[in-house]
Amino acid sequence: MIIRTEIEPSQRLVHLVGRFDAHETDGFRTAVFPLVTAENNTVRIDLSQVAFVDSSALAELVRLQKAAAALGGEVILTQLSDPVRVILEITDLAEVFTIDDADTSAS
Amino acid sequence: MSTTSSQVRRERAAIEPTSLDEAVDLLIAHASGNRTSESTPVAEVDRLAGRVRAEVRGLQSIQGELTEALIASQDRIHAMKTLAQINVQGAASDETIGLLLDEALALTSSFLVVLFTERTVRATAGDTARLDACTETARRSLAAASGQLLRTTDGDHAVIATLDPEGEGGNFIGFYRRTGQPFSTVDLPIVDAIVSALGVMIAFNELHRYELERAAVEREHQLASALAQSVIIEQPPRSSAVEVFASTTPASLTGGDFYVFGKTQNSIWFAVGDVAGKGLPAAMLMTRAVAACRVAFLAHSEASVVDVFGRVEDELYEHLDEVGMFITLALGVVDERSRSISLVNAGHSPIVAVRASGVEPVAATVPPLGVIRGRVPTVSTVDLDLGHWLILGSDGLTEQADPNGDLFGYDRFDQLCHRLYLERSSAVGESILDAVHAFAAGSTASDDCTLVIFKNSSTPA
Repeated sequence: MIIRTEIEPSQRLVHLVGRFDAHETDGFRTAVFPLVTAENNTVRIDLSQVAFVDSSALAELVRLQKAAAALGGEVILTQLSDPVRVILEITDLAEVFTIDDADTSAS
Repeated sequence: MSTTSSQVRRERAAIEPTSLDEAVDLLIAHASGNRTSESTPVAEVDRLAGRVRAEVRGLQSIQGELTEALIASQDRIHAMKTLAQINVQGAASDETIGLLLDEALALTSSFLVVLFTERTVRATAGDTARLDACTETARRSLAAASGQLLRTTDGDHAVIATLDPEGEGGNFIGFYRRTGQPFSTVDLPIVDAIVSALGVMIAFNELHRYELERAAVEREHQLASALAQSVIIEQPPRSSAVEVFASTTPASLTGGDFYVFGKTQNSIWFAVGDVAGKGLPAAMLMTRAVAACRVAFLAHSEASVVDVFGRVEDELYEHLDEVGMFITLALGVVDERSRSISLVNAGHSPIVAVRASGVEPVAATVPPLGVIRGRVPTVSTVDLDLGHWLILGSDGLTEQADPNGDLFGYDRFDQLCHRLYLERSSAVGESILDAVHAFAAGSTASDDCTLVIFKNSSTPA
């Protein structure tokens, strides 16, 4: 999976491309978790190009959401691909995140 | 007088040989009577012979020195070869390090070679009568010049070298010679060679020990995995009213999938779950979840499904929240008298009720355990007496990939379940597992595979 992060004064953006599964969770944690800070407690994650998500990856997203919430922020999932949308619905995890389907791709 | 002296000098200059060859030629000339001067006194011949003998002795001396140097060089080459062989043949043991130190002792003409760390002496070779004094000298030298890789001390009678300067082993070697035999720059190449060989050997030693430790951890991991997996009692409960099929196969030694049953007089409590994550951490949580379910089934067997679910959540939530993991869980009870199943679904899939008319998913109504606390799930009901089945799988079935990367998927799973509608539960279970295995066509199992099936035992097959 390719993880691309964009740090802007007003927001933190993360673009994920490929399979997001148990093999990718360490890399995700290393790259994305530091983006959520007390000063910048909200991160937007673009999932439009994610082909597959497993339960380990969902657990990472939930963990990130909890970390952001603890700082008063949140994780906003944007542009859900079909596989992501299906797994979020099946697991009833969609309600855990703010989902924004507006196109926010910055580049 | 002066004329005579001058003449004699000229004559001597004429016959004074400047090399061994000339001296030999002159002697040959005298011996053959082909004189280059009018007369050659006996004394002159003796003088020339003396020169020849002196030259020959000089040459013999040089030859002797060369021979000694050659022998010494051969000895060192042999010793270096031995060093190399120890390095190659010695499978990184303390014994091979001892052999290398013995060679180092001989190569450097030392009376003592010490391998040591800042705190301990690891190995020695030679006369250890002065070991304490020697190591103390070495440590003082190290303290005085900590940044250097090679230090001489004790009036150049000791050389202290750092082994593996980039590593964290903190190993050093000291070479000690007796009084009057100081080390010189000539000795440094051989010291360097020994230090290099020993450094490699110690690195091998460390690697070997690391591998042993890793193997030990692996064995413990296997044992822990076997123990964790053993909490799942494979045999489902027997019931005259309901057929129960249950199977779980971890993707590796152990996994996060589980099923658990609790049989009471007229009911069968059950839970099917999947701990997010893999390996031993997931397995450890799995054992905790199984224990929590068993306790809840035994202690609250008369309670409602929602209440029992709440008990399990109460037991697990804080720990799950703390470690940042969740468990998808389907939990319910089969009433053997009415042959109906009540269940709740916290983020688990696939779960389907199979009917003659088709397959209906039992959707999750709350997120997995550990995500949001206190959500009340909606209870779903499956009536087995109407010929309905309940199949609870795990995502390892639907997410199994084939060699092209395509997934088995929910649609294929649902269609397969419906196609097997008339089969007995065990045949359905085996058929589903076989179908997923055949679909994989040799691809690695992507996740644990779990399948639990409830069917009315009186349903005509």
